[in-house]
Amino acid sequence: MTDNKLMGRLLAGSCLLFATVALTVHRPASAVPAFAVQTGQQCAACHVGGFGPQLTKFGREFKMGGYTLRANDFNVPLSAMAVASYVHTKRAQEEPPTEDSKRNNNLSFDEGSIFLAGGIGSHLGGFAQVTYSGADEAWAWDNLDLRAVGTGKLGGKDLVYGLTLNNNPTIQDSWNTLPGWGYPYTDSDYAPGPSASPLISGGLGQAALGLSAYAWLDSKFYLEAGGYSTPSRGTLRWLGADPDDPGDIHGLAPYGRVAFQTEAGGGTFEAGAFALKASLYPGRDRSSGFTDRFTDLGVDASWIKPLKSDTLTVNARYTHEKRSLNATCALGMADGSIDPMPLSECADDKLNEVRGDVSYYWRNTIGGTVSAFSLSGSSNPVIYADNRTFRPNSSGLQFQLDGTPFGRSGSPLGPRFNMRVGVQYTIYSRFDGARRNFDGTGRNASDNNTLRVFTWLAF
Amino acid sequence: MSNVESSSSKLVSRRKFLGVAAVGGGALIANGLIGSSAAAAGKMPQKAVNYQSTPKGKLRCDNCSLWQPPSACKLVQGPIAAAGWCILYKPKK
Repeated sequence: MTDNKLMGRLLAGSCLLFATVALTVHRPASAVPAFAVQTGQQCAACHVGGFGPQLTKFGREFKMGGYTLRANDFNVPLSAMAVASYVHTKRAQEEPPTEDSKRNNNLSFDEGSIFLAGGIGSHLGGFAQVTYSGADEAWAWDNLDLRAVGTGKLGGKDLVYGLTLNNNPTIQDSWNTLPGWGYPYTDSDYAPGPSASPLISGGLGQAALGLSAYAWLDSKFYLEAGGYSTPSRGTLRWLGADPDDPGDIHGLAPYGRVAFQTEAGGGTFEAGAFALKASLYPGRDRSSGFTDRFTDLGVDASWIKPLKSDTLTVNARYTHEKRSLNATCALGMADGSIDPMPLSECADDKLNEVRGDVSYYWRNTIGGTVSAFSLSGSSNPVIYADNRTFRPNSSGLQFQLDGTPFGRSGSPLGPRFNMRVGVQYTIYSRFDGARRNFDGTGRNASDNNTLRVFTWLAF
Repeated sequence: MSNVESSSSKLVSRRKFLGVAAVGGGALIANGLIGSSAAAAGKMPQKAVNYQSTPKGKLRCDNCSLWQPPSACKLVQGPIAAAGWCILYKPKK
């Protein structure tokens, strides 16, 4: 089938989805549009570009305030979201990305989510998301952030303090620099991606439950500390998650975050740091007597500058991970999948991740984003055995152009309905360790250059 | 090896963790309910919404849909000037 025919099918599918939504949501809309109804504000009050998840300065305040801000007595605290896309790689992937997909030109329903989202009174709020994955063809719990908050004064300054119970380190963060809500804000399981990433970049997502306490002073200083543990195997299975991936956290995994925000250059500037330390029994296998140990440290910075009715944003982060995969290596040597060697030669590894993005949104309607990413680390013939150079190094650029017709004003389908359509193009200059022949089969990094067209609905 | 522990101690850690969560959450809620200070959560600090005590052109708090006479706002903490303005401004219908 030609690309043009596939694009036609994508557009037809999007229109069909649009029509279906129009029929089912032809009433005052309720989504995380539920938050828009709760606060009486347009999507653009909290979200750059009029669509989640990139937060405005006010959106950050709403989140740190525990989602409790309310302009009306009651609203239905439910929302829904759906994402569909078309993915084309420069050269067909070596294997189909999922069982039911093709090696290239995949038209897919990526995900559908339902949110329970809202604030109760002045002290409790949050959201819980369950998601149907088109790639997995299954429902599972997704992002969770439940908060208890209070306010007061400290040294004459406004203080917001609270607890957050969540299931992914950084998902509770209010800046779009950290992995939980960092760019890209939508991606696809059908697109190729580098095989390595720090643990904090989603490695514990929906596989851990954490509680942290935070304080937000004078809308300037943010301090947070807490820890994560692993729910039981039965609980994770019941929630639809793989109970053994990535494994069982030994004790508590401490997490910390500091940030400073101030007005600068006509916009809002933020700089911060974050840390996560975790010891894991990979696959919950404790038989080796070892754990895999991860220490992730990072710094981040962001700037949002309103320009009349437009918005310019800049986000950046650097993460350094030191890890000792003692358990993985010991288990591998025990079952013969890894040749015997000194444990330190197999297990010790370092990883560096740098990401940055710049977005410009015209009237919260049309947006353009340029993102750069780089992943580098030490050579390891065991951990990166599938990479010809035994290195994790990947780098490249991603460009996104998107349109959000109803972010700033009401949609004809009701105040809760919102939609974003967009195009992403990812260019890899290096992939899994090399520019050329990265996997030993002759495949080049640029063969993974990816075009993605997406439709994203929220209501 | 220091990182080798029995599963029973792991369970104790998790139990402790959940206990801390329950106690911490309960304490915070109790503090909120009992303490109910004037600066109630559920409203934004004035600084967080760029509140100013002067109007922005014709946009004033007393012609905003969130205005609560004589000197309050549905969404912003503290006394509010009728002639004030903030980023949450929405005109009365």
